Amino acid sequence: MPRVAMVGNPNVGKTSLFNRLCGLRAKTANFPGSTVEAHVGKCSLAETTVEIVDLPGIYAMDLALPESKLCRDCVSGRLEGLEPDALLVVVDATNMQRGLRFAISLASSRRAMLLALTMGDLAKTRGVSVDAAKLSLELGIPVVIANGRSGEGVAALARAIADARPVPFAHLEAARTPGWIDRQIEGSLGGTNSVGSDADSLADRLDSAFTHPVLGTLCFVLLMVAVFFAIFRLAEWPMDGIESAFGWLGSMTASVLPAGVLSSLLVDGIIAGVAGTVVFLPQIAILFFLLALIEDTGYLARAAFVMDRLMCRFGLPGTAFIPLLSSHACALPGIMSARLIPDPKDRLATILVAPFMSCSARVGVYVLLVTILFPDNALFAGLAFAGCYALGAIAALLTALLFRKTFLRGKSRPMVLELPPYRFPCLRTAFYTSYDRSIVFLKNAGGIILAICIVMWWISAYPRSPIPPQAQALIAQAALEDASAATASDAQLAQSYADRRSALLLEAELITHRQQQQQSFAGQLGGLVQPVFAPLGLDDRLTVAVLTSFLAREVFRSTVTVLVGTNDGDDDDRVATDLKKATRADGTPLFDTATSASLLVFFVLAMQCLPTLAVTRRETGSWKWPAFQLVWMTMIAYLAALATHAIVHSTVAATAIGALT
Amino acid sequence: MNPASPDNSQPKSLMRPLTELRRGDRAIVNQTQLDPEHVATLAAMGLCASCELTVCRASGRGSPCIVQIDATRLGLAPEVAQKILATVVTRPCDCPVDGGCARPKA
Repeated sequence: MPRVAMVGNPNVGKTSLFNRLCGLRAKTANFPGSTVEAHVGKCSLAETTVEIVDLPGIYAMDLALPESKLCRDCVSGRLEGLEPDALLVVVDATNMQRGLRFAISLASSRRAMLLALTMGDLAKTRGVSVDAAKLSLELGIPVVIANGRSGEGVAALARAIADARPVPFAHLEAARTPGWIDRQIEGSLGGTNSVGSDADSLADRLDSAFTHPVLGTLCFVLLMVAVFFAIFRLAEWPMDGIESAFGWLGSMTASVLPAGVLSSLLVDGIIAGVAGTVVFLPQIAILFFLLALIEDTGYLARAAFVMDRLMCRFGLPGTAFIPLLSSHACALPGIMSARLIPDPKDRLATILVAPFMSCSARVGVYVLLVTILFPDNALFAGLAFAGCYALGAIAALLTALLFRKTFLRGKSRPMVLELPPYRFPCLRTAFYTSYDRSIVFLKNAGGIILAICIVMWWISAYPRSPIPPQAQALIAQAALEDASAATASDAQLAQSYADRRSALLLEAELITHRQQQQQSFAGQLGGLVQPVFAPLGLDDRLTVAVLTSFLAREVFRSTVTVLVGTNDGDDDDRVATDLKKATRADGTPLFDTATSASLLVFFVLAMQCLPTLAVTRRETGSWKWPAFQLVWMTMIAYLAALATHAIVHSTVAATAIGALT
Repeated sequence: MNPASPDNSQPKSLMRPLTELRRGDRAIVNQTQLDPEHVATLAAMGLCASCELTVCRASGRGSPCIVQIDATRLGLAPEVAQKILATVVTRPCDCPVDGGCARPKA
């Protein structure tokens, strides 16, 4: 199948054109050790199908940037499996000077070429007409005016692919002579307003507002609040739907398969594990759809300057603000959106600190522990809740500063950005971007995350422990209640027997589950490492709960209620009250103030999300960085929790002594 | 012209960093005092020695300088704009207000 590589400067409408040519038949291609990616799609022509490779937008082939290197390797045929038969050079019709210079530099590769002139509509509004036929004669290759947004000229462009040919030597020699580009522009363009005239005063005014220290910051904050409000509100229904669908799938699987290892693996390991990750798909799809819309308007480049002032104090670029803010919804889209950051060190620092930001999965744990800490004081509870978010953000920024001053030391790429023209966003492009990111996320969930879920299930489910005698007795008692219900004289009595039977079976299940948790490899590990967590005030049950929550934080609540022996439920106050009554072996409260506070701090700062580690590996191309992220965050969380426990414990003790005296 | 080689055709006394230019000023870039890698990137974006630019937004306290070269609009962080020296060719007015204004000269 013939292969065509699309190359061009950033912001020339290359991706819109690619989406028009290939539609949904595209996939993202990653390259080892690099976060730079290309898109590969298929375009059906009259007689044949062409593979199209959409390379990242670059300003020049010879720059020492990963995007430029990728394009160089592809054009020169060094990229295995992606050697192009022809180059489709995309040039912005409103910026012919730069576009033609770039095209001529590519002509030296002697690959077959054709030129697509985009932004024809914008050129027209500026009073500029483009003579594609004349330019084609001068260059000796096909030149087509095409608009990826409206689809105008795209069919002609697809047909012209077959006529692509290398720029003839004579034409290339002529094109390299000084002044050739200026002559072409004069000859090919005409109209009343020259391109680049400073008549665009509206853009000037908008730029002044959007990059203003106060007004620009206000605009950005308001926009981001609106985006995150939309994400939380719009994602709520599909997330509930996904949870219900996986719940139904789990129940169906459990009812079809006989109880045993296979059923447990499928229901508790694979379905529950994948559901815990896929549930975030709506947030990811909506976030990337909205970000693509905002980026398409041209606003995002302006916003980057506004945030640059704040972020640069912590060694991060302005573009890092979006990944960090996105991480408040979920670290997965946050880390994935770090691709907006061009500098590799800036990007790595952002990825490493993004999980410090409090994500929605932490909220359940925060609510539980804050309710235990301040059951009757809404003001303190609110402050503690807000404090968790602030602590996470401060930890992220200070960590970024430390990393940028130590092993990620180096000059950041100075903030130089091309400010694309303001335009109405293209829904089609935003949809394709969102679709592409969602597919990448799902592939991730189906690969590495699935494998991790199976391993975690295995260490929680094995070795299998027999049903404890206490539970067996309860089951036997439930059978008696069942028999009594069958012979009951009236319906009310039968119902009370049935209720009692259900309660007994639930109690038996709880006891069995608790024993399984304690005797599993995870439970044994908990007993083994409990001395490490003892200074934080954790007993062996809380240690197991913390260890299992390394799979995902949200399992802490269910694990702790099982281990402590209370019933989990939707009522936070009830669960918190039950847990507050739980005691240790010596009769002291399990959730005393110091332990609850240290646990809260631990959960704010610890890396307890395996999908996040998997995405970090994918984005950094190595297991080294997720391992470092896990060790660093856990260490910081442990030390901070240790200090919190010591301070709160001594404060509580001092207060108690003061009250006595 | 090689983007890295400075244009010394103007007396040094007339050269000013972009941070000192006003909105509406048209200027010719003389030299950039950045490292070669950044000079090459800027050149590829269209900003090189001897190119003509228009200041769309003057650099304020911590805010970027926005310039237009042909049809390319570039935002430059103040620390970058400070290191690009240019000579003003035309100034739209003599208004002494900080940051200048775009009012055409009478």
